[in-house]
Amino acid sequence: MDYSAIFTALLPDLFVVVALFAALGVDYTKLRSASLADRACAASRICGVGLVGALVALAFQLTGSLAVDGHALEVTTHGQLVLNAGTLALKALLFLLGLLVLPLAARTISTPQVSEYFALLLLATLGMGFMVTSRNLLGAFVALELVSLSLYALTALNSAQKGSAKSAEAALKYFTYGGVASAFLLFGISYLFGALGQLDITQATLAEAPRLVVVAYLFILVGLGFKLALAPFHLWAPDVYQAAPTPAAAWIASGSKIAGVALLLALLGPVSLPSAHSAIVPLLLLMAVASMAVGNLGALRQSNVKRLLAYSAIANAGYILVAVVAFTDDGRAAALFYAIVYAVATLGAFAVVSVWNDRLGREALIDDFRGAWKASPGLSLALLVFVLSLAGIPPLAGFVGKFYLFFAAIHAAPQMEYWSDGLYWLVAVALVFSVVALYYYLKILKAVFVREETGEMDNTPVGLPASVAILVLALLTVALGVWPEPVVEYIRLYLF
Amino acid sequence: MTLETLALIPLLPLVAAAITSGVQCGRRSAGIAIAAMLGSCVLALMACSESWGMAADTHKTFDIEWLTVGGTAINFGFVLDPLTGAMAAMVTFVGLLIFIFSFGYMKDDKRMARFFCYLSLFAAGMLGLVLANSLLLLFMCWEIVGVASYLLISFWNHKPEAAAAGKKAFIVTRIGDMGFLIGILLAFKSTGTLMLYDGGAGLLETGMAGTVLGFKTAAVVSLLLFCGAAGKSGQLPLHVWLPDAMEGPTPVSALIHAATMVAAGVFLVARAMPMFVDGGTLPVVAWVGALTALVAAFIALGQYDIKRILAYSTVSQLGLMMVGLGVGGVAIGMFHLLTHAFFKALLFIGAGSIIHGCHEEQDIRKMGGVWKSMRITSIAYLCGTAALVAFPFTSGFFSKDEILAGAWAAHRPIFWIAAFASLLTAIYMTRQCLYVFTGAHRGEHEPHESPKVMTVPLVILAVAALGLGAVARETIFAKLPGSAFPHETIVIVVSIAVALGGILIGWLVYGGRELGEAPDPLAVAPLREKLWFDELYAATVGRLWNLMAIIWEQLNELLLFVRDMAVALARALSSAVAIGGDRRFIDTFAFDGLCEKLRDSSWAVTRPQNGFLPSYLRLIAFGAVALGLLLFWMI
Repeated sequence: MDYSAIFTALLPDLFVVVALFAALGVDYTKLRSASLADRACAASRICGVGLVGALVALAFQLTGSLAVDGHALEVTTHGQLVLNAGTLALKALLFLLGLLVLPLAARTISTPQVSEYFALLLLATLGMGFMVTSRNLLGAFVALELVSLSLYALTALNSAQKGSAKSAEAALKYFTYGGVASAFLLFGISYLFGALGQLDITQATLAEAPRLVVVAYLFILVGLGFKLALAPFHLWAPDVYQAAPTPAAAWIASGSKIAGVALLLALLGPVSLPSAHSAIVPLLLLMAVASMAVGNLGALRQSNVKRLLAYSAIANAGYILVAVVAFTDDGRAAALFYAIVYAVATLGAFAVVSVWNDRLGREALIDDFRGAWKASPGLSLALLVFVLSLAGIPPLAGFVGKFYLFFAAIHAAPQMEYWSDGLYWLVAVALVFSVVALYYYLKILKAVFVREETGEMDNTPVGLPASVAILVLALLTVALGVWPEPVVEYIRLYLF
Repeated sequence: MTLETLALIPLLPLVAAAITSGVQCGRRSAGIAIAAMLGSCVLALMACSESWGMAADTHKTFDIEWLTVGGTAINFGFVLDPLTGAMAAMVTFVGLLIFIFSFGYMKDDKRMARFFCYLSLFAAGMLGLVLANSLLLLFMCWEIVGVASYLLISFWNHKPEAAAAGKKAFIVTRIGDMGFLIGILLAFKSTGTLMLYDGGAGLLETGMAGTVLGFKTAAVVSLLLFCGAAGKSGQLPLHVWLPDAMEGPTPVSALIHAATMVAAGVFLVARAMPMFVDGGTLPVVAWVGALTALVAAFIALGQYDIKRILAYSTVSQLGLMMVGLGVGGVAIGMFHLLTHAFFKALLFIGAGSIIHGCHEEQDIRKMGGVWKSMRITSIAYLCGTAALVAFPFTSGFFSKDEILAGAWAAHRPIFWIAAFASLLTAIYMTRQCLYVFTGAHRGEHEPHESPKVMTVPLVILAVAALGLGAVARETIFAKLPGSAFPHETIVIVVSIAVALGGILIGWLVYGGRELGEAPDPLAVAPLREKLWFDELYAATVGRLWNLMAIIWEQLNELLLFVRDMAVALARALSSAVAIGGDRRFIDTFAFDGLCEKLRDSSWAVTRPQNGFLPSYLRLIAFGAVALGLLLFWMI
């Protein structure tokens, strides 16, 4: 075993781990008696430094200054770690988004367990990094569990605003639900291992799909369906999103979604059309349609913004599946691109909502945004960008993302042979639901821009770090919409 | 030059515009804008010097892939050749001086930060337009320039005239842009590309085959492009916006109406020259230019506003540039464009300095005696005047001489028109200088010299106005494509004669006369009233528009009536067919009902969301079993 190679490969993660323990240590020793805000500030700074260090290390790895011998690594770790330009960039993106979550978390600290809160955020981020870099069935599963367990605990840490009972209840639901889903996933993985004879899925190809494999994928889809909040395994999402601390919910909706989609694509890697499609494709189709229907229709009646965003998450997971079903490289690239675009926009939306929750001292309803345009124009503009991107309005990233999704799905049509022949109908369904989605997205914007202000509003300033985070997210949303080509091209080149 | 450095030329001002849009402090905003402009100026000079080293008729292109959709790539790109190099260098250099001048001129304005934001945006659009290697990018920048000029002209929007002038400029140029856009679409339809130079496959390299409505495609497209150019460059009959645009702050007039924006049209014709040659439409360009030069020079004779005189003079000189392009080619037209940019910018900011010194007075009848109190400004202004009237061996003399030589060789009537326009130019400039500089001051307050930040740019521009001609003739002019014409003796004689003769006539008419409120022998009513172009448009186009509006309104009424009738009929039918079923039908199946159903479905799909964990878990099992059954059925 070449340990030095593993050391250089894991240097970024080392930074994160050190930062995590440093945050815990400082909080437990020096700052025990300090105020909540000070502790949050210190912890978030330490974590931020760690993530920045990790990002620098990642940048060195990407540019080749800190060369990672990808091949040797793959051999020695049996695909536990596949570090190439694609996976490293994805990891860097997740770390970057994680870094943007920190100021939001520091701003609206909702629990006396300050350092644990940040440590769990970092642990989840770390796990996501492993999820996207691992191509080994067991390694990926362990990474997924790391993410999930951290997020379960994070969900419980909302003791502010008289929500602690609800938060604990949601965490318990999330945990139990996730436990069952993990069991399904592990069961499916064990079957897949049985069929492939190896854990390393980069090497594996399935020339034809024996029934065992099909059953394995059924179970894997149940497990990952939970992770991605795909109907009919979505029930945890609205409760958890609503009750969790808002930054944690944002991280569940964004980072976890990107990592989940990357893992799904990796696990579906060995499936090559047309051998396996006949059995697996209908499953994916059913989940896609169900998610779009449940997500979009369910969101129509919501008045709580976080709950609404939860349903929107379900719906968007459905859109992503539309391109996954294409089983082409273009489709995979489109799915991952859309996951990124969605994650950025939804993270931004959650960030604005978190500021609002903080100002109100309770969970924001759509009506609470009335007249926001006059009270805080900057935040309102940012929210406009995020929500319009989610709704898929050009020239924002969401539009381009959806365009690539649907384009890939339609383009793949000639390769289909079964009753799903041509994904036109699926794209049509997705388009119809996109129109339905406009209703609830615009409802938010109507409150912000059109309706009159009612009560006076506590106008606490957003603070520099959080405003920078929101600004970066908004700029990313616009930039990815105006000039998506480099990112999409990068994904196509290096990931698939 | 790499793609990055070339792209930085327009990007720097763009970034400056973005930053300054959020800056409140005027000084900081000005600093950012000027620094950005300095950066692009340095880069543009580097690009220009590199372009001189390039072999004749070669074009360096830098393309960026913007979007690929199913195999069709839409590219954006920049091109570097002597034409863009010279133009970019001129725009950034003159622009930089005007930015600095504005810093002094706008010092007391509360919205100075906003002003520099607009200026930067304008510069970014203009430079993008100059460097663009794709008609699409060029058009986008063209429109940015249009918007920015609208914002700048109506910058003092508390004055109703300024607001109206901005609107007028925007709408009139938009009429030309309509033609431009149609031309672009037509070009794309016939060639399938919008790139100008693309390794032999660009629009300007292949030529356009086929015909449109019986005319050659190249002819139609080039004429449509010329519509856009005529709008931006104030050619007849779309020149009416330019004099009104003088309502903007004076630096804007210098930037937009002397050096850059109005030159965009001329530049477009120069850029697309192969298309004009191919389509054989150059005579149209030359004739429109010649008539514009003549008419505008006449009108300038009858104006009293110092900036309006310069505005009409600009229109007239732009006409001469079009003549140069039409009869001689890129080099001749662009040569005059470059020299004109310098001396007209000088005249405009000189006028700005005078106006500033005379306490915001623009009427030349109320000036006089400026020579005594504003020495630096006056000398600089006279240098600009000398160049404008083509006094021998100033820059304007060299460039105008080339135009006249080209016209002599190509088409005699145009030569005589251009020469006559030059004579008028000399007359009205002499008239203006006599009004402004000589005699006693006729205003209420005594004029005072402007601060250094305003006079230094003046001096630099004055040197350029005098000396640039001979230098540019040997460098830029020699590098640009186009044919050189023999300078016959008669051309030179006529050229010198009209300049000196014009000055002489002006002196004879106005020299010993009492200026001021006394009637002016040359400013007769038709000239004072600008040959009634505005009134003509109001009476024809405006009237027509009103008429159409009334007709549409009536039609609308009619349609509303028909609609009401139809609805009433439908109502009657519906209740007749299904008495009492009407409500049920409309509400359950029509749009409202559907939406209501959708919203109700929300309850249905969220029903499993009852908050009870056991039922959630049950649903996992149910989902897994359902998928399994589906699978079983599929295999």
